[in-house]
Amino acid sequence: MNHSCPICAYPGLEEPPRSPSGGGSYEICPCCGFQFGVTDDDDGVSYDTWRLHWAEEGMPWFSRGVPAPAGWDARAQFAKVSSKTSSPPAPKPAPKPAKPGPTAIGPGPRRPR
Amino acid sequence: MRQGFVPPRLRHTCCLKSFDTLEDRPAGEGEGRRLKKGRTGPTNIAIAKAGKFNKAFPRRCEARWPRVPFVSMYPIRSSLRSVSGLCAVGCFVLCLFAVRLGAVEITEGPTVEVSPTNAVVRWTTDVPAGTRVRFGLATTALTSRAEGEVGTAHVATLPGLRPGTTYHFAVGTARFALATNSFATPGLPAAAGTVATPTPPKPADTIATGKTAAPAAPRPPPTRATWANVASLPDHFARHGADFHAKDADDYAAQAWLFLQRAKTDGLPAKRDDDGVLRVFDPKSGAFAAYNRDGKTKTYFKPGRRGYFDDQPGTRVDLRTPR
Ligand SMILES: [Zn+2]
Repeated sequence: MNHSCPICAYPGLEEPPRSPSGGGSYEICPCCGFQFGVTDDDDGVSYDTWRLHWAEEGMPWFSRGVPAPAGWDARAQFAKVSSKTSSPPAPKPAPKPAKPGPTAIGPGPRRPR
Repeated sequence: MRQGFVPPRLRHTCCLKSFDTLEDRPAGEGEGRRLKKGRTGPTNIAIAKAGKFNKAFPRRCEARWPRVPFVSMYPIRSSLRSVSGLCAVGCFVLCLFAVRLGAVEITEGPTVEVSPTNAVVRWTTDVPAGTRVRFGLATTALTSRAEGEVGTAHVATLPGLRPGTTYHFAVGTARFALATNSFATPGLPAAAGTVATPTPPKPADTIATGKTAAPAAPRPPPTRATWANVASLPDHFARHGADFHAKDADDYAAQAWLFLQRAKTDGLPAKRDDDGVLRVFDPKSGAFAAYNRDGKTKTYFKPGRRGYFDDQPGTRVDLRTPR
């Protein structure tokens, strides 16, 4: 069963971005390039920030190994996420307080365990 | 033959590693972190997609002699009428023959005669060449050296060794390593003078790159057997490969698999999640990896944030304990 990316709405993720325990899937979205559990938990980039930058870059297909679906329309896909919400579901706080990342973009989204 | 003269075929050894010119700067060292830790979004992606990981290759050595154009411009008729001319033509033919044959090669050895504190290394080459042995306690730290005469029969004495110690060494010329091997010195003082029976020589580049795994290191299975989502591997490699100086995606996947094996051997900190995902961390190197229940790799990288592993979910497990 495929899962949808909370950043770009790409519907072909192999795993849910977060497991029930709150752990990241470590999957790199082939569409927008967000790595769940790394881009957020380690790099400290939020869904909103990543989405904004991805849109500003022209919504390019990210993956080298996973080809874009036939007839892939980035704008139509992006319209789904932007029509739903302008930001991802608010993540619940992590069990342990995370130290801020080395840059100032801010902590990434977290889910409960 | 005068000292320092190097036959043309010795110089034409592009396939060999040079002691003096080898640069082992790992590919893209540091650059991957800067890219990743730029904390920008797809701009960073675009840079990563460009694949700007520097490949470090040893400088190529070049065949500097014979200079064929010079010889071909030599007035052939007059040279044939004089002794010097005959020599020139003869040298030209010999040089062409030598270059066709290729690089200097070891014809015998190396053999090692060891005592508790010394070793004598012997080997022969098919053409005259210099004699140099580099040796040390690890293949990546051949910090000492011994030298001998120029010739085809090479002898070098390695002084000041410690009894009961394994040494690694590389034999060759001042510029090229031709073979590597190891030996162990006997303990004091009984077995002095015994002739070691070294294991078969390994290719010279194993010591030059410094990337040789420990002799007992297991051989990684094919990538498709170790990486969970093979289609995603190029993206993981592009983003994290520089963390481990991986030369390509397969090398990156192999290192991730080896990391798990080492975790089991060394008992690295690990957590098992409810869904079976295993997370492993090496505090010393900063490497982190996640594996599916079947042991296939999900990702492998070096987190930049302290406490990253501590914040990961799961129950601590001792990987040394059979499950
Ligand atoms: Zn996405």
